[in-house]
Amino acid sequence: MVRADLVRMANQIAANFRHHPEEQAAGEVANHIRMFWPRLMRDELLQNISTGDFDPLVISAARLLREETPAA
Amino acid sequence: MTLLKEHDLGTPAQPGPANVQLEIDGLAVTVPEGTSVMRAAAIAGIDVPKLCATDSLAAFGSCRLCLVEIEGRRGTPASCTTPVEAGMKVSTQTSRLEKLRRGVMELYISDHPLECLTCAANGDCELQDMAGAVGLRDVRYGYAGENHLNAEKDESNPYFTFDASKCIVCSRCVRACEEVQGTFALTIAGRGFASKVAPGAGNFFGSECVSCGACVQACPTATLEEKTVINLGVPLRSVITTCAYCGVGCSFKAELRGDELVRMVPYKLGGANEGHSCVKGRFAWGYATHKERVLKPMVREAITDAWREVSWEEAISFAAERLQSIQARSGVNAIGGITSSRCTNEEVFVVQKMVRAAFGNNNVDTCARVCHSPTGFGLSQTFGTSAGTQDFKSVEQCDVIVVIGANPVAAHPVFASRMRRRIREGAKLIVIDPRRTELVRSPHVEADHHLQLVPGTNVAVVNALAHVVVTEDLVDHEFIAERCDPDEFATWAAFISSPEYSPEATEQITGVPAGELRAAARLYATGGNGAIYYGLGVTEHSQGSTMVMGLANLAMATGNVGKDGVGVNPLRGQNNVQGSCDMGSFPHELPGYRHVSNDTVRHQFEELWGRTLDSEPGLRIPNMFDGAVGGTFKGLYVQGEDIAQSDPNTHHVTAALAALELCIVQDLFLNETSKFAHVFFPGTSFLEKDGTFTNAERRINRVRPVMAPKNGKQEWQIVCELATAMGYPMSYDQASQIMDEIAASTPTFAGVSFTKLDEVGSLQWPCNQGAPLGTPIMHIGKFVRGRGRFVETPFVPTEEKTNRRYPLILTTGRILSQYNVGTQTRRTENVSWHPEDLLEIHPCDAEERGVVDGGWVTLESRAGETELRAHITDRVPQGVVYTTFHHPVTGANVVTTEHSDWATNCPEYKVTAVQIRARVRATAPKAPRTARNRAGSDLPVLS
Repeated sequence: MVRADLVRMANQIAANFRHHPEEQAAGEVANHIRMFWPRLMRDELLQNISTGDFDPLVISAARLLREETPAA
Repeated sequence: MTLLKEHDLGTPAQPGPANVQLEIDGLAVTVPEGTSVMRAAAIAGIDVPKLCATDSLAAFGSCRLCLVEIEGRRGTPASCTTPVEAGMKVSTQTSRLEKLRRGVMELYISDHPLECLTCAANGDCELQDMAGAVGLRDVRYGYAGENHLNAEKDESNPYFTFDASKCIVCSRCVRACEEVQGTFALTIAGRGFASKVAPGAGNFFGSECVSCGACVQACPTATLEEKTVINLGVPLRSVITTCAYCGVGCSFKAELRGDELVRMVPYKLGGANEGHSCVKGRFAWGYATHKERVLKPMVREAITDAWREVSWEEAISFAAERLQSIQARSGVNAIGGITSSRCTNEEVFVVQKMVRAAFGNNNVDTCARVCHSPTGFGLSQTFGTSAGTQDFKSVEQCDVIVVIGANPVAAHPVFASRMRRRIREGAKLIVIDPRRTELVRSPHVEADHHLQLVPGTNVAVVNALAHVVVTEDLVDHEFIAERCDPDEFATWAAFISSPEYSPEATEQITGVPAGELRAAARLYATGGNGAIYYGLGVTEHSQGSTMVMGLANLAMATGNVGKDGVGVNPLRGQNNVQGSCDMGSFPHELPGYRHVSNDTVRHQFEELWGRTLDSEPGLRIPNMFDGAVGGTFKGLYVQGEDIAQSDPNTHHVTAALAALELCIVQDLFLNETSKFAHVFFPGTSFLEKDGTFTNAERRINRVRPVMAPKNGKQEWQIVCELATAMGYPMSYDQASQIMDEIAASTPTFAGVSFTKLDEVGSLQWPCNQGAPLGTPIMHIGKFVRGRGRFVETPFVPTEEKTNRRYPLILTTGRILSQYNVGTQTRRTENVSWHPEDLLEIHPCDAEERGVVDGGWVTLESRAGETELRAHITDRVPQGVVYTTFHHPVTGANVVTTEHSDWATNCPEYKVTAVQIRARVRATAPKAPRTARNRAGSDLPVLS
């Protein structure tokens, strides 16, 4: 998908969990992405996470997602 | 089946506190206190002659035909207006009464054309019946005197006529318009002999009449008569079925002569509508036999080729081979399907089964993605299930009604009539909507509070309401202690008490005066039973899901869940939105809202279907579009949805569709999406379907075939054949077997079967061992999830911002006479009322731009531009413009953007920053143009 859309969607999720303490918020973001995003989008997120446009919460969430993603 | 005529008991039921026993014509009868003598007699099997009485209307006592004698009483009281009393002895047939009735009938007939044999209502006329019932044999008064026999006929309405010469001025039509519909369009003008039914000033078409058909149904003569009955004759048989339009899901009697549908009459025993209808369900069914309907399967190699009619076998194998070829070349996830909320549960179930089992992925989504997906998410998070809490009847017990982001008078008219009746009885009304909708002020209905918020600020408003409830301690502490999670409540209460959510603070964002908002919050919290009804004005926002959770929080905080007259009630847009979601249409959920990663549930389906199922969520509709543009998604099956017209950001949608290697459309008509299709499977109209719809109150209703499928197949058969051709054998002998499979695999449907539905009429899920006759009201005593969950709902403003270039906010909605993208209603006479989409604009905004009423304007957003006519009105506030999306020529979605709900990707249709420019129309209006081809170098997206 278009990278800008990926960034927008992920950051939007982060914005709606930002009111939680940071660790909890990252967990909520990761959980939401895990529950509703297809594998393809999750992979794209992880591949693009270091490109600089993502909300810090998304970056923390991506770390959690990466930990549970088996190496290809 | 023969023509079904429900027994008319004469006056409405009176649920009195105690039973009363009396004697009628020597028969002992026991009825509730307050029941009329007429109704008591009818219950005992004695039909007292009547003309002005019918059990859908309050007793009126004008026709003088229902006279009875009561022992110990003087005179001959009207049985319709006389309540029963204990020990009363009533005689309905005496020589005195017979003589009186004959005299009354004689007077009626003396001013009525004696042309029964050629009258359209011959055999279906209460006047004719009553003349026989009272034994009228001759009329002493001739036609020489003054009469109404030459009164002018009004044929202005496209669906029915008003023949004043046949009118007996019983007022049933006037009362139906008032009591049942609540429009008050009709009156009795004049006095005495000059009395006549009058639709305001002028004729029916030009009046306030909304063509619901209540007056036609109530008319005891041929005065108000359907034109189809006049043209085709009185119907001879009935089939009870369910309307194909909005989420109210009205029950109808389809009345036919042979296989020809003559009329649709609302069914009195229908749980959703109880005998009422709207212009769409009652009259706008002609599309089913419209000449543009496609009945043969068609294929083509490329979308630039002409369509080629082929056999079903060839079409199925054409589609199956190409789907398999795509998967072989591009992977199992390169194809997917979209289900439709206009199709039955059974048709939807087999599509998601085909995708999961035959396609081998979870790439199935539904048109609910673009309407009520946030409802599923929000109510599931808070209450534990993805559905509204109440039945429609519950509104009769409301004390305070909150309507948010919904215009039921236009979009859910039959429920709106119920709601307005309750408001006329005294319930308070709070409307939260940027527009001054019909509910805000209409005859005998006026909102106590209209919170006219800025579009996009819903969450700020609901948070402010909750802030008042918590900080002014209007909380139902007992309910929370018993029913909700106390820790989550405490966290939420602290969150919502923050000064940033006070009405005074949010006023700057929402535009809602703090005092008005505080008063509304106090009324909802303290006014008795408070019920929330909401529509797409809640869900189609970037925080649609948050708003649904905010409403659930508000209801729980005030104890307004789990009993009659309260609740959180989504008004679903299409007839089977609830059902299509229940059936597992979302890519992350199997039927019954169970996540695909749930091993236990998935294994159950794997065993049932004999295939290994994917445990990963599949692609949502926007993901499919993105994948198509990106080259990873190449084959799409679309069931009964015109995504090219209904989905946002048309440029992106059409680019995706054009990129597909294979697009399969299954529909009634060649629509905008089919322009990009390679295979067209002709579908069936609701008159041909055999299955069930589930309406907004979780009511499962039978959709019975009125006629054989005009395309030669039920839609579920087409899907089964496609799956089978792809190597996954799927077959059922009849639709009931699909429901049996649903019941066997989905706990909330465990007790549902066609046989049971035929026995009891309808069932509201959950219907299982614990609730064998269904569940009209949910969460009584306990939430589905156990304890109710309060969820913090921060207000996150939409990224769609107004600025100097796009200073106005466009919001969209529906009009009464049209439905969704108009595929059905545009092919009926309903276009008489709404031939084109209009742009509502405030007088100040119009003046500033030189826009004149009825003049052409260009509507421009960041995504694209289109042209339509302006309607200048202060129904919209300054800074907001509004339009409908019923006509493809308007291309309203060319201007809507890619913004969507954070949780579900439901598009943000309700907030688009736009600019309006007046246009001097020297030439034909330009076709809608996306931002990319605004310069005119590309072909228009819609042609």
